Amino acid sequence: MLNVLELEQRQKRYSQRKKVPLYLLVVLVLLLFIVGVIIFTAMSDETKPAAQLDGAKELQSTQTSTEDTMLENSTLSSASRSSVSSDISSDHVAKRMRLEPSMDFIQDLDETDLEYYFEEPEEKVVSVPRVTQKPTQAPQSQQRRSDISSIVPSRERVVAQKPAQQQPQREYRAPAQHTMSIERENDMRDILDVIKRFKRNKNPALSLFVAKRYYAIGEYQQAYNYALATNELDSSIEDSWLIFAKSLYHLDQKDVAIRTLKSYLDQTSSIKAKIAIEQMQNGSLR
Amino acid sequence: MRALRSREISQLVAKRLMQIKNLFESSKDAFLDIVDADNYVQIDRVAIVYRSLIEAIQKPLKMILLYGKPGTGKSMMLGRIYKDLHKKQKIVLYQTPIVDESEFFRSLARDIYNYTLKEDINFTRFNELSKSHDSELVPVVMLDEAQMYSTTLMEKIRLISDTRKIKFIIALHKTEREDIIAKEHFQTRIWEAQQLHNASAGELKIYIQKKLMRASCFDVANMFNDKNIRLIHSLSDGNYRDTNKLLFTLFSIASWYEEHQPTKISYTEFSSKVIEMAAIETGFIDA
Repeated sequence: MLNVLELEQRQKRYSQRKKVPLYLLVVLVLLLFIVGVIIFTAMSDETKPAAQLDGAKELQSTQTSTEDTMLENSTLSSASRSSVSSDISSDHVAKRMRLEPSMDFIQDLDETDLEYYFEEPEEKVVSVPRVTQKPTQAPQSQQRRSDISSIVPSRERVVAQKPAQQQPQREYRAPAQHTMSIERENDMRDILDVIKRFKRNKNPALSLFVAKRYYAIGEYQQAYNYALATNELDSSIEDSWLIFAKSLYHLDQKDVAIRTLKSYLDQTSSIKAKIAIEQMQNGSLR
Repeated sequence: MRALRSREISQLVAKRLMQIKNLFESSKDAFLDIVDADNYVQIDRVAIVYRSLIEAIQKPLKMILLYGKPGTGKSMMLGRIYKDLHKKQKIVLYQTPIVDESEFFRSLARDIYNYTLKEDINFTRFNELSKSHDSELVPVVMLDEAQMYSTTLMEKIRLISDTRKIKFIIALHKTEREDIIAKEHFQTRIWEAQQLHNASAGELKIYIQKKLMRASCFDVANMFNDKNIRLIHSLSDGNYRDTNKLLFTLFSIASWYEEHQPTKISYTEFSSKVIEMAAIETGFIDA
């Protein structure tokens, strides 16, 4: 006798049982996927430090070659040179790492675009040791400078740079202290980059930065120009007044500088301005 | 749009079904597992075997072997040959093996030579009788389930066939043992061997639909789609006997649904569920 209801139940059980391999397959695939992801993650974690180590080694080798060059050019005594060389070849070299940003892209910039901001086109800033030297200037620059010379006489351009003779000593100390130093070789490139940005957005903070950088490297004429530009954009910035006046001071316009600061002091009672006036008056301003 | 068409078809079928008392009862009867030459379904591959056997009977062959797995249609084939030839020539079909030797020869004497005396007829006596009867058309004896005959009797059958007084068509299940029998007893004899195979899915569809159409169950015949056929074929392995059993049970279940829960059965196609239920009932699925 056909028992259809019981058959229905048996068929239901059979249908569920039939799907078990499918479920198992799905679970297996999921497990394999998870295991694969875990293995992949683990492998990528292993390869990452190795890659970093390779990068570090490359950097070290580059640094070593750079340092070798620097050492060759330096005026170290033979004794100190041999000690540095032995130090470089030692394991300490691996731990010493110095990062230097590459600003090569700035070289591609068209400098003629920056003429407006320089107001002294084609003027070339040369980094030299602290040795007094008259810079060679293009005729056009001289024309400009003669205009300014009514206020400020021609000056020696000095770039703040540590003497080359001191460099090997500093290089030598670094491995012992395991410190990392970041050195900017060319401030001018930074300045050019900021000038380009300032040209785009006329941000007084940028022109102030340029003014300060020029002031720091002894380019007082440019520092004066950018301090003035900053002041025109925003006269409430104290530093623009200070850089402006200090630049004037260094351009042998001490009286004008003090007068400018006093007029600013009348409006703001700035302590920094007071100090600067005092330093100018007693000749201690640097 | 497709859903609407499907619904319309469903309604038409349901309307048609209302005119018939129980659609699946008559379908069920078409798949009763009985050997009836009238129910013989001609399928391409089977038709080739049939023609080969008919031609072999016309040739001066002493013995013909028909073999295949159980349920491939050997008995049905023999029945069909008997039906087609019995009016033209002397042909005898033993569907049930006659294991007793004396009874076997007495039956042969009676059916071929109309010898009705109730004496014991042994092999020698039968040979004497056959020599005394000459006819233009050699009588044909078809032995179904020949694997049931003893080795001794099979050897005597071979000797009788050597006299060329009687042609034998022997139907065997194809198993290892039967192959040995064939080799031992008939290897050196002139004969022709024909093999019957299980049906392919396509052949099974034709088989099912032809059977249903013969029983005038056209609506039910249309309910079998390719998916149903593939499932039935996978369950029965294309075996005609198993297919008959499966479909008989399938229609029994469908018939029960029609009587008790008609909403649970579709009249446009058979669900896999019902086919699997039939397979569970017939033992093709262990559930």
